[in-house]
Amino acid sequence: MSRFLRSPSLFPARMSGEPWGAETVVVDLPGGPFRVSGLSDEQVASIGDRFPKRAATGDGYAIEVFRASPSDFLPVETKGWEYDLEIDGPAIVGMDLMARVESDRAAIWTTVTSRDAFWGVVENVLRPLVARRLLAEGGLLVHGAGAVFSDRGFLFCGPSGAGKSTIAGLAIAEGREVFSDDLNAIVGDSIVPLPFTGDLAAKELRSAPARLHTIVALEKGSSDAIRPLSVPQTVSLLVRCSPYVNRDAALGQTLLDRAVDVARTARGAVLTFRRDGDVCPILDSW
Amino acid sequence: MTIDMQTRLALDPAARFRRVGDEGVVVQQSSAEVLVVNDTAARLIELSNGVRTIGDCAGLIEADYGAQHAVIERDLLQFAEQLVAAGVAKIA
Repeated sequence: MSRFLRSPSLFPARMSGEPWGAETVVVDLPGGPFRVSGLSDEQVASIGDRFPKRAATGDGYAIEVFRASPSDFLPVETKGWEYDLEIDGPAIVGMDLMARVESDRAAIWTTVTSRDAFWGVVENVLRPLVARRLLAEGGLLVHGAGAVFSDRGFLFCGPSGAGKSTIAGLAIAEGREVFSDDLNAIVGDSIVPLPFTGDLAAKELRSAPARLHTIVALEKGSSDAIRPLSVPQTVSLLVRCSPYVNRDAALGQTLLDRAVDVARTARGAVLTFRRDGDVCPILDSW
Repeated sequence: MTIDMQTRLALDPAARFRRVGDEGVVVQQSSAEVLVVNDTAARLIELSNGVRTIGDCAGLIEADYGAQHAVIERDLLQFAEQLVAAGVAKIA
C-alpha cells in the first residue's frame, strides 16, 4: 500500500512515456555524471539552481524524465510530517514522483515542472542513486555533516536530531569551511562536496574536497569533550549512517568491507557538545 | 525456544559479519542495526554454520583460548541468546 500512489499496481513497468521537453543537462556529482533528458526549459533552470552542471556532451548515467498525471498521486498532508521515500528494489515513490532505477539507467515520472520545486524531485532520485553508485565505485555516501578544522576534514555522523546541523552552524559561526550538513561523499581518502543539504544553503558550502581525518559520533552533553572511538565502533557508525544501501542485503558485504577500509584510514572519535558551546578549539587540536 | 549446548546456530541470511581486529561487526540488514561483538562472540559467529552445536563451538574455542570450559559455555550461551534476540543469528 503506497502513501503516495492512487493505484500502486499501475507503477510504470517500462522506462517510457511522454517527455516534458527536448532539453538535456549533465549533473556532475560523485557517482555520476548523470545525464538528465526529456526536460523543459524551466526544469533545466531548476536543476541549474541546485546541482553542478557540465556541458551536455559525452556519456553519463542516463535519467529520462516523463510526464505523470496528477490523478496518479494521492493528496498528502505534510504538516508536521517527515518525508520518507518508499523504496522497493528499483522502484522509488514519493510526492508527485515515481522512478525506476536500474543499474545502467533510470526514469522519473512526475507532475512537477516549476523552477522552485523540480530539483527536489530529481534530488529524491539522485540521493539513493548516488549512494548505490558510489558504493559500487569504491566510495561511500554518509549521513553526516562535514567541516574543516586545521585543514583536516571531519565528518560528524548521526541520524536526524543528532546535532549535525548544530555542529555545522557552530563551525560556520567560527568562520570554518563546511560541507553539507546532511549527506556527504567519501571518495578515496577525501570528503567530496555534495549539494544534498539539510538546513544549509549550497552557497555556504566548501566546493573543494578535503582529506578525511576523523569520523565523529555526536553526543549531546553538558560540556564539550572528545574521546577516541575504536575501529569496530567506527565501522558500526559508518554502516548505520550509510542511507539507502544499509538495508540492501545484496550490498551488505560490500558496505561492511568499505566501512572497514574507511575506518582504518581515518580516525574515529566521539564528540560531546553543548548547543551553545565552542567545539572548534577541541577539534583543531584533535 | 530454549538455547542450550545442543542448539545449532547460523547467521541470519539478512545479516553480514566481518571480523575487525579482536572484535567483530554484525549488520542486520532488514533493520540496519549493527552490533559490535567481542572476540569470543565473533568466534562463535565464525564457527556457527548450522551444523555445529554451541557445545561443539565451545570445545573448539576452549582449545583456541585455553579458558575454563564452564566459563566458555556460560559466555557462549549468553552471546547466543543476544545474537538470536538481535535477529542476527537464527536457530538452525
